[in-house]
Amino acid sequence: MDQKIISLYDRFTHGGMNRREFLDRLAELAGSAAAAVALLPLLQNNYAQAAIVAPDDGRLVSERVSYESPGRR
Amino acid sequence: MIVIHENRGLNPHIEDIARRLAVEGYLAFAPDLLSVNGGTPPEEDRARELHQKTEREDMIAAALAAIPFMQKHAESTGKVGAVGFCFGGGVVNRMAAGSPDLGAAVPYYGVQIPVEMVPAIKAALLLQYAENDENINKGIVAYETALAANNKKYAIYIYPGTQHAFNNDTGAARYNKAAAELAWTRTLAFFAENLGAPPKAS
Repeated sequence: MDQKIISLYDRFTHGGMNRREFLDRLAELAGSAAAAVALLPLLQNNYAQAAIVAPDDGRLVSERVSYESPGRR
Repeated sequence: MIVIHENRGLNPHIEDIARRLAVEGYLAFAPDLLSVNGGTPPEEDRARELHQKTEREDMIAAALAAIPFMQKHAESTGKVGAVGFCFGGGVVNRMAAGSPDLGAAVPYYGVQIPVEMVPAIKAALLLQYAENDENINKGIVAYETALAANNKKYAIYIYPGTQHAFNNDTGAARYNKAAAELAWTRTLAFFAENLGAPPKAS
């Protein structure tokens, strides 16, 4: 993928522009709005991608816990 | 082992990374630092927006508080390490500077700390960087100079041909499998060397 597209996405994810602006600029780089939309699944996190270790892996014991945080000092 | 997420909260990818440490035998914990602001929303765009509205210092304080939590955990050896990615990498650098109880720190493409904070570091550091990441990499020289001047234990790797976020296998555009696997091998070896090898499963 073009480095300019990756750098654009990097700036967007780090708060450098809003989503509308990102999509507009992506469309410019990709050549069209349709091409931009086609790129989105490659740029964004795709959790349909299988985890390397499945959430229900039998070797593991997992739990949700809470802990105290005293906040800023 | 504490896993610190990127700039979009605790998501399935980061939970997977915690599990990858756990199958090696580590006690692994991935805190949701957006808990200070209600917790990570399931939609990534909303998670990113919430991150941008959340005070960075509040998240760092919450990350630092995870260290004594893990130290005292019934299943813990008392030794604590941390690995973090992007925003989380920056947090891991702050954890190293902010707690003498962190034994090993592995920030991936994380923003560095001010050099005044370096003397306080006790942890051994493995700094993992992407080649095409000018925004982050511009801080490497000052950080390394300060680490060396203060006799800190550290190693630095910059992975050729990689992008920021190259370890994230859920992001096809930037994921680099070969670099991610090499970096992960180094991460595991580094934790074993500095905190002790994890126990084998029985």
